[in-house]
Amino acid sequence: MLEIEKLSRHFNGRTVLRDVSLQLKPGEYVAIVGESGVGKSTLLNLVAGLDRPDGGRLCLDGEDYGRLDEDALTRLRRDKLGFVFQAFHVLPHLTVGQNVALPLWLQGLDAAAAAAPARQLLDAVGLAERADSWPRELSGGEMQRVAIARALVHRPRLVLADEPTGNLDPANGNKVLHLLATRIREAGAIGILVTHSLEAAATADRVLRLTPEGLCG
Amino acid sequence: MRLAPVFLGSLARRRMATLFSLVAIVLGVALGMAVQAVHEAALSEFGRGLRTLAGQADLQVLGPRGGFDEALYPLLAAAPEVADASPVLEIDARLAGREDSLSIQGVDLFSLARVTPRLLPRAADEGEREGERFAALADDALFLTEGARQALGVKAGEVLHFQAGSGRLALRVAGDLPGLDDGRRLAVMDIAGAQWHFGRLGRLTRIDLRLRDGIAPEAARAVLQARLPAGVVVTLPEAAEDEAANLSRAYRVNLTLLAAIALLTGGFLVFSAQALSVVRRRTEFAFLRAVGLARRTLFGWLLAEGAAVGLAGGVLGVALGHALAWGALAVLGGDLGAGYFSGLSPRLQFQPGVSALYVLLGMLAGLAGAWLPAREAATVSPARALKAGDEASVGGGRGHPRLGLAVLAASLPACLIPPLEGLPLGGYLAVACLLAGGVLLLPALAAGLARLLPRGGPVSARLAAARLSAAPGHAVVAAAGVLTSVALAVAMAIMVASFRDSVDQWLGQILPADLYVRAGRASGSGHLDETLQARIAALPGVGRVDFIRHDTLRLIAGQPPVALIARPVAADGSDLPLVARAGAAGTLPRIWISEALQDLRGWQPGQQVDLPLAGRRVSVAVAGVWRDYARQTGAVMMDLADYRRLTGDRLANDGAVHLGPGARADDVADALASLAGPGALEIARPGEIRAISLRIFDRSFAVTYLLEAVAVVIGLAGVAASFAALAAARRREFGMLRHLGLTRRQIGAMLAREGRRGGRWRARRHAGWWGHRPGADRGGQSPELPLEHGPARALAVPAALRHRAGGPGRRGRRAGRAAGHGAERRAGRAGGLVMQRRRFLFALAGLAAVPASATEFARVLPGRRLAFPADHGAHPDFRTEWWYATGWLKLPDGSPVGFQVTFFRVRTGLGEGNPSTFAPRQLILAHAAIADPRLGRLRHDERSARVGPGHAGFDTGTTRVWLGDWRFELGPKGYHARVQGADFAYQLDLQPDGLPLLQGQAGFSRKAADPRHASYYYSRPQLRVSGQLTLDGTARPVTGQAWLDHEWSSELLPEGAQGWDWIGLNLDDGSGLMAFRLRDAAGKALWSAATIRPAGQIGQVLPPEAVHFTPLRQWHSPRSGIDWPVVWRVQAGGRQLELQPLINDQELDSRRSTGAIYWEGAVRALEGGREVGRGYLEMTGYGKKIRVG
Repeated sequence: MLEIEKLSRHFNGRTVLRDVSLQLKPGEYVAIVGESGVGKSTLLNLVAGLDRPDGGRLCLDGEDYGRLDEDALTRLRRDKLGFVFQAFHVLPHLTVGQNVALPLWLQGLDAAAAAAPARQLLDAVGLAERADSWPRELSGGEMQRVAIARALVHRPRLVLADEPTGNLDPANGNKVLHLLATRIREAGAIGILVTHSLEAAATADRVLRLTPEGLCG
Repeated sequence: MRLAPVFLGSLARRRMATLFSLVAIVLGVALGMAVQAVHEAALSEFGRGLRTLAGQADLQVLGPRGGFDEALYPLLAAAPEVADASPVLEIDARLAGREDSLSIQGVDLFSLARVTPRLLPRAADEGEREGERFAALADDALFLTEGARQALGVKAGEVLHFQAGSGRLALRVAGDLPGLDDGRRLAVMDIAGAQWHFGRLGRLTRIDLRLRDGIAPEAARAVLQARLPAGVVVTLPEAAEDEAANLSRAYRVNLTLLAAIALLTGGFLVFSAQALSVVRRRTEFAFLRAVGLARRTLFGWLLAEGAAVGLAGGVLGVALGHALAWGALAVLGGDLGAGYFSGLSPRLQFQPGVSALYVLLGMLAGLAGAWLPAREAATVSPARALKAGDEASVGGGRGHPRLGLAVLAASLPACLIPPLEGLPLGGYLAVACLLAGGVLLLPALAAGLARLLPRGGPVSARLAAARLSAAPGHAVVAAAGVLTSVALAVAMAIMVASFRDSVDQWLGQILPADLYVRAGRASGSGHLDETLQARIAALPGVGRVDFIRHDTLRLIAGQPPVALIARPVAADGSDLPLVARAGAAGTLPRIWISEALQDLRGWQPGQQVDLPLAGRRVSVAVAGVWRDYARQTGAVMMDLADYRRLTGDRLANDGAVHLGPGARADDVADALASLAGPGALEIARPGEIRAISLRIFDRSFAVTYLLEAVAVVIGLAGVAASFAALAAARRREFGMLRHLGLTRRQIGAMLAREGRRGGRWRARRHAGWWGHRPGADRGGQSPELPLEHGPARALAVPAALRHRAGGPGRRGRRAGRAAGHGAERRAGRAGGLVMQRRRFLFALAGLAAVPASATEFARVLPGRRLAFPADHGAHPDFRTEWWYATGWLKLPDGSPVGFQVTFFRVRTGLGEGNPSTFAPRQLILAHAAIADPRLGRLRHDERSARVGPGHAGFDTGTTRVWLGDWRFELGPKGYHARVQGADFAYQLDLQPDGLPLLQGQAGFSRKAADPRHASYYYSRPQLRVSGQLTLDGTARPVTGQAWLDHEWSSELLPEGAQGWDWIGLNLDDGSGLMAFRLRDAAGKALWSAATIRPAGQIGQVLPPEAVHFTPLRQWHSPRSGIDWPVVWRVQAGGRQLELQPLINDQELDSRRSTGAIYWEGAVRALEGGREVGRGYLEMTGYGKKIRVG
């Protein structure tokens, strides 16, 4: 369970988020849409523990992580969060398989132990044959599928996707969005998709709009 | 290591940047390693050479270059602390007609064998020509190391010509020095010949001392020093090695620091590459942080990237460094061109410790370079970094201006730190502070500079200015370190060039004459004697000649000698390059000291000081301080007239010739050249000397130039790499600019402008700091900043006119002619060199098998009546003589032992006309043995020495012969023998019973039918013995009976004689029997003789045919393989005796002194199965033909 309660954030005296609240159950996948500059990325960073709220509460499975120190936040991200970015952030000097295995490496698994789950996830995203390929040999859509596999390989409780199709053509984008939704549901994780695109948002279970006044369904 | 692919894999992806960083570190480490390896090899070789020369010496006595009085040798040899003393006269002998010289060690071969056995020579014709047994003692015999032989291109039997004084000396290559096989150029000759031929009679330059067991060298040093005159010092051999290391240390440190610049550049390149990599990988790191990579882990891994580059660079650098060192040793030699270790052939050795240190240094450079970028990467907020377009915030700060200012300020007090053990560490620290401070300040300075830039101009200029202003760190940080290193290297080059100019000017000042004439180097074998000086002065066209004498002074034990230069000096010293002078002149002789000496000793102008001159302390006044670029360890200048008055030395080494009016230099030079033999005098014009000096300077700095060039190349490559990487990092920006319509050229121009503005002014500033202003020299102030009080001078030293004035290299060698490490000495003592010593002594052996020289030996003639006591004494006109005592002793428990003591005197036929006190005209050799039945073999020891100064001699009026503390002498109560062997000692009184027993015809003892082969020979049978015998440290009283032979001859053995059998028996009835036979190679008797003297009667001489020796049993020696007939039947007149040995093994290997293996043993005489007497049996020639005159 993810509980967001009256979350607020200010930058240089300007309020970017004010009293944002949200509750999500495991297996629930929501899309957050809104105008540019309304604070979508800020909200995502706060939920991801990459930024600190100025007010409000953030709880994941009952643990208030809004006040954790940096190390604890890092551990939380490592163990319970998964990320899918617009820019893929697939490391070019690791193979596809290694990229997917990376979260497991960070959790302390050695390369051999991490290889099987990574391959399983790659299989799930339809890239089982490309485990030993280099990222430069993949298309944009394939790279984002790799990113999805990487975001789920360590069975996170919360998956955050920030404009995952921003760099993809519509056809590929659509495929990726459906894949992401399917995998999040299968994994029983909580999913948050941040996007400009209503079409993309439609792949989620429900769509929330972020406005200066807060989140509204 | 799970994350290794994430980070280290990135290095492989950034191939070019990684490669540049790697190459820079490789070169930095390689250069440092090469300098270190070459110098370690040279120092190690030098030290090994010193230890070889020092051999087993515990202490060394050293004096000025001109040497000291040889009378110190017997004084020291007789000192109770001293076991052995080895006198040495070292001469740097100039090869006639050639530029180079050869170090000749004039040595006493006998003491050499006990102190420095590795220097023992080996005669080339040993064992081939019997007439050359004393080759090593001949005054014209020279023994060369293999290195010298190859360098000079000579072989045994050929003649080398040297300059001695202003004349030529021919020395014959008589053999080699097998103990010195390390490629060094060295020669050994007999000390008497060296003294005589090189005009150094009565002088020694060194005495090596071996102390008695249990004497501490340091304690003995203090005791012995107190007995020596001023200027002669006792040092530990190790001190010379330290001295040499210290002399070259500053040079080595400077080269190492130059290499460090390259390494520093490498570190900056890593910094640059990593800093830019962090910019490029910023979102990657942010992603990793987002997915759970801890900040510390990221920091650690980025450091690991730098460390990996550093480690790889270190390993490759060490390998390359060894390769470079190998090449440098081959091309430049062990001194890297500086002249410290001339004549050495160092061998490169892998040193794990040093290599590991350099690998570590490489890794540290990588770590240091990666530190700041890693720190920056780890502190960046992932949320911000994940946003595109945030790159400029990295390196976009203003650096650390406060810290930079603080570090810059710290360089000032660092300059004031005094040199630590001669090294200007404070200066180096100041350099480091300046560099670090500069780098820390650069971003702020660049930003400030950018604000001053014009806002107009071409678009590329405006963009560059905007970039620099907004993100100075990008443009500056990337290239700062690299450019600083380049600037430093360039500044060093400027400094060296300026310094060269200073030296050039100085040369002009100290070379005022029109011509210079020299009879050889300062320490060498050539000199101008008074006659030649007068002839030079009297030459047509010569207006005035200032003669110059060079010597050295030993001011402090363990420190290098100080140069002494005596030449005409103006009363106020105005003809010297003075930097300080005293006020009013007093009555004391005046000296002018060099700056180096002032620094070393703290002497000030006007101060009264004592100088050790001619073996005494002389008070002199310091009249001034002069600039001397030539002598690192200091120099004293004094007026030649004062020097001559104080020392009596009227020789000169050089002459500065001022031409008379209208004279032409060429004419005078021709006239000078014809004064002495061809090539005897070197004649040079000031310009030639200057050119040679500057050539030496350039050679000394060749490696410096090379290292600077490499640092500059690395730096320039670094600049290129940095901007290439920067361009790559900004590709999005450039792409955008290209889209906006900027041409490639405009972007290039923009980059170039950014680079120039970041770096150009810095190079100028550093050059200003480090540059040397030649003009400042004349004011006597140190023109250079921090480097001046150390490195600059140290860099100068190797350059400075070593050719002219005997620079530190030679002094280093001289100082170090001997040194030693205890381990090697102990090893030597343990007997590892016995075989070699034997080889030499075997060459000496044969006693009287002297070359058939012109020497007239006295002849043994029948009819001469022996007269006593005079004939108890020595007969030095004869070739060979011995006093030979043998007998049986009874220990307190009644058990018997046999004893033998023999003193041989040998007239060599050599050195008859040599006035040296070391002339080897007479030798004393001594053997002593104890036949110990409990041991089952002989205890044996031997000694040999020349008669002369020291501790060997004989008397002619009575029996008195001695060799060190061994002696045999006749007193009122009889003979006294004293022997101190290795594992035994005895002091015995031998009381005669009756008159001497004259052998043969009234003492004329024939050895063949031909009466020319004969000796004078008498015996003293039935000597009653009492005394003390010490075995294994336990002294016991003993009594017994003995037999003495005293025999002298010039031609003893006939042709065809293989050896002899001899007996001397004291029979129980009081009678004595002597019998001998000479054998041929087949064992057949050539001649026999016997004398029997019944108790109380006169001796009865038996005819040859009445004497028969019949061997009954043989004993096979396991050592020599010789079968000795140890049981005999001897018939002499009417008596038939059977001889049974006390023990079988009484074989005596005396190849170390007499060259022979013989059997000399105690025997019982039996008659009818009953013991009737005891005595000694001697058998020779059973292994090899005996050689006796």
